[in-house]
Amino acid sequence: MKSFQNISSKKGSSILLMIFEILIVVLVVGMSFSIANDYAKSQTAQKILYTKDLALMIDTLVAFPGNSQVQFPHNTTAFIFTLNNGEAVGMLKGEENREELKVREKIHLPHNFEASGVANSAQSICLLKEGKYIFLKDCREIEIKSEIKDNSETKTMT
Amino acid sequence: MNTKAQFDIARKFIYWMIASVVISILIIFFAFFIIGYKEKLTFVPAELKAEIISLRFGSIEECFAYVQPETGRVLPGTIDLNKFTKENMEKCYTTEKDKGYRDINFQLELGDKKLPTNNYFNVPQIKPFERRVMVYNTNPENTEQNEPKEELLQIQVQLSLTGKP
Repeated sequence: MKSFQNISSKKGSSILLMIFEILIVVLVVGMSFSIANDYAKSQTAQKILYTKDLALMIDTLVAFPGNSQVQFPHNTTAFIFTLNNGEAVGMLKGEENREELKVREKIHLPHNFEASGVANSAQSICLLKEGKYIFLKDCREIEIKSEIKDNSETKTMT
Repeated sequence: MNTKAQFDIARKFIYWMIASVVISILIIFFAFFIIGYKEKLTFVPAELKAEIISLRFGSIEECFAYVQPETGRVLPGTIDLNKFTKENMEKCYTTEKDKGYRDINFQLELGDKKLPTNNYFNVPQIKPFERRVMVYNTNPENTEQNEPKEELLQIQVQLSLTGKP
């Protein structure tokens, strides 16, 4: 009863208001920080930049006559990249089912050219151009394949 | 509750009403600022993209590059006049039929020949790229067959007409 009287008195109501004010300030500051953190997270910017870079690399590879292989010069362990005909898609690990967070970049392929492949949390990714096909692969996959090829060649030599 | 306390609460209520409007406006500005900053951070000039895409015109056989008949080698930096046609441009670079005006479009100019891509509406937005190319004429009717001539290939660029990539 006494505490109720305290609240309804001038002193009580001013304490209540102060708590309310502090709560609002904390809420606003917290929300601003969380929004800022989400947007300014370096991985979000990296995801966009890497996807754009990947699309530019494909456009460059297209203009290169003959076969070639290019290694993407960044660590991409935190990302997943996919190549479909017409677009490069970049996302962070765990964003596979969140379409709104995926970054999509258009690729303009000439007639009969195809681009495909997935690089899931690969430390380094490679773009491989073989004729009219462009593949996105984990660089380790290519290394292992070339090692197997080298081994089989040396065996046949001996 | 006495009258002074009631007056205090009413005053605070008005204060918080105004404050909430100001705080909301600030948060909206803050969000826009961060989005703008992120876009600035990840911005890639459309001119760079156009330059990279336009490399293909004189470099690959699917576009207009000359292919040596004896060796089958593609000579980069060349144009085969016989291939410099609309059909070949469609094979080399096309944008979406309906929304292609949002993409980069080109018009190649070689001598008096002009070859636009499917959504080029004659709205060049940046200084045209110029490339020196060796021009081959593989047309069988041509008497000076395969005598290459150095010419200037002008590439007019129309960036996205909506202003967005």
